[in-house]
Amino acid sequence: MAEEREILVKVEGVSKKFCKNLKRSLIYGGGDILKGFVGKEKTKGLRKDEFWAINNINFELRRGECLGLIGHNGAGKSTLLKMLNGLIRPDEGKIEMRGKVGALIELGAGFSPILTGRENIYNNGAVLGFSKEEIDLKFDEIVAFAELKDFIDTPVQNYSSGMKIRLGFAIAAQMEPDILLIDEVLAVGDMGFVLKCFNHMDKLLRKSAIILVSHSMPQVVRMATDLLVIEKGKQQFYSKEIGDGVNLYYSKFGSDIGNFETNDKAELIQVEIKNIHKEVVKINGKVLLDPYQPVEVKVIINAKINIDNPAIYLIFYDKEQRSFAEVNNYSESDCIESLEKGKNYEFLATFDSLQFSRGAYSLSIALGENSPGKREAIFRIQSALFFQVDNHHHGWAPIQFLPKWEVRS
Amino acid sequence: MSESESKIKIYLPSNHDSALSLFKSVFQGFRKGHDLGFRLFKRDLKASFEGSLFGYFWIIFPPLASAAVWIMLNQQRLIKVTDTGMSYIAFALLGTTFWSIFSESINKPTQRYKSAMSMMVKLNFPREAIAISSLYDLTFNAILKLIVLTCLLSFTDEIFSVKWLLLIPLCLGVIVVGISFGLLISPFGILFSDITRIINLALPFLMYLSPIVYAIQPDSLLGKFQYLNPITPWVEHARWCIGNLTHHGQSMLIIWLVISFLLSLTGLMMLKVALPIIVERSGS
Repeated sequence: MAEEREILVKVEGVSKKFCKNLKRSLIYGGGDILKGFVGKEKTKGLRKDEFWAINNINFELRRGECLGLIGHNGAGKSTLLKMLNGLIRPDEGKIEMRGKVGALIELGAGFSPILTGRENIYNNGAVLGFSKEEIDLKFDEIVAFAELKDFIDTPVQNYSSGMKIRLGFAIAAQMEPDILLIDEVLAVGDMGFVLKCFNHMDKLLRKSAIILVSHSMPQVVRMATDLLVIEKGKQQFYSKEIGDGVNLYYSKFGSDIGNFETNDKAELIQVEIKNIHKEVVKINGKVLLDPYQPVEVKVIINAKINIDNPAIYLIFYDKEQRSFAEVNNYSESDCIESLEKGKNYEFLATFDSLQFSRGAYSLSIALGENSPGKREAIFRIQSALFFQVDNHHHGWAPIQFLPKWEVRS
Repeated sequence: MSESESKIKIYLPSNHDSALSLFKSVFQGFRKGHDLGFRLFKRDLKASFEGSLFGYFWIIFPPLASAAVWIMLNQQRLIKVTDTGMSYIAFALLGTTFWSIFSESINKPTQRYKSAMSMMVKLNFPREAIAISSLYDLTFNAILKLIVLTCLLSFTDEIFSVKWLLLIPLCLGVIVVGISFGLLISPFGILFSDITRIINLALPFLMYLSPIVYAIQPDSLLGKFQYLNPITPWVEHARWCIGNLTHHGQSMLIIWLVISFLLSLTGLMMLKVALPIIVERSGS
């Protein structure tokens, strides 16, 4: 690798407090403004009804790096971005931003619905700091990027939300920032456009530092070189091991097992996964599997009606909520004739190994009736079980085979 | 996107910067935000009368209506206004037009900053652009009002002379004075909507305390106070332009311009301190 590139973003012990009560928040605000005028310090610590929306965040970002910023809704990601963008000030700590900052936040903020796309390009460009001459030069490129040639003289109120985003991105994409802040902007927009945006960001990444807020893990994994997980304003994870961070993020979601919804046809009583010959090890309340040892999955179901030719499905999901493996009991020998009303049945599936990559997975379970001429779903329970796999062979693809290699020449 | 932006920015908790650095950043904001200010003005002008049948008429209507009431009252002898030295119609029209420009100028900055809040919580652009767009907005409206005023005045007994052109700088002066109060109020006006309500409650009252629909009575106590009223010198000079009324020297004009400049600067510096605090309380 070449020598370390320069640090563009430096965040040291940054905190921000917010007030839950609006009236009080306004009063505190008025007080803080007055104190600012007369040169008095703001109150340190929390006042009544206040809480830390961002609490002691630290990170550094160099040119060419991309920090993925993930966390649940309300974790404080956008607040942090606002501070980095200089819209609001931290209450504690220090932020250093080196170079020109560009933000892809709320694309098309400032679009006026009744004006045409053309007029809005100039207006929005001016908000982003372009002069009229600069936009004149880039105008055709913007329109081409947004793929809106035919509608450029149409009022923006007649655009679809995807078209607005496209126009907004195309304008903002003309910035050549040293630091680029991106907040969940590509949620709308069709596949083709999103890919185009990513290619563009890849280009930007070569010469700038990017901070990306997203709930889409594939997006984060694709872009990020560093990952910061925030929970309730606190820094939970900060490392270059993106996969670990994403696992942690996913592990926060609904790991309470056994709380299955019932319906009037059948009930899922219990789901279990374990290595057959090993003691069960748990991490964060979830079973940790050895992928190269035999594994069994046990599912207990209570039938509330008579079900002929029951078919059970086990569907494995990876951390991106992608289903990548599935088993069922379709083949004759796996079938049982019928489930009797009121009885519990235990289904046991054993695997020689589950050669999954290291990470968090979930298992969804579905039950159906599979009689000739009649296929009916009885229930489908998403994420009935979460488990982790500990594999020293790990990559982004969820399945990691261990083939026998032979090399011939 | 100028080269000067590629410098280090440091954000610290402290909510007060030295007056000098605030002054510098206000100055910078004006330099960088000028184009944007003009664009925002144009954008909002186009947008504001979309969906309105009468369009620009709404800008000129309020002073005309207010003048019409007073002219009517005066003609019916319902009230007795002492000799104004010119036709009362011209007198009242001038007064109410100037007053409406003044009161609009007081409200404009708060109003504009409030409506730009949705942009300010998302984007970092020179906030001074909003002040600049307010200035353009007010000037445009004032010129429109002046044109209508001149047309109406030519139907009265007054005879057009070159002196009438002085109405333009006088008008601009009123805007400068008004906007300086407006800017000073705006940090709190944006945060608390109560401020706007109080001002709109107080303005009509203040109008009757000012020599808008009547001439100054130099001997009365009120008359003496009225010489300290920021609107007085401008209105008096305007009347002097139209109808040869005596005025009380140019010194008050200069004094108020200087005061306004200082007030505006203070207001803008206060906004610099206040806006981040307001933005964090405005949600997204």
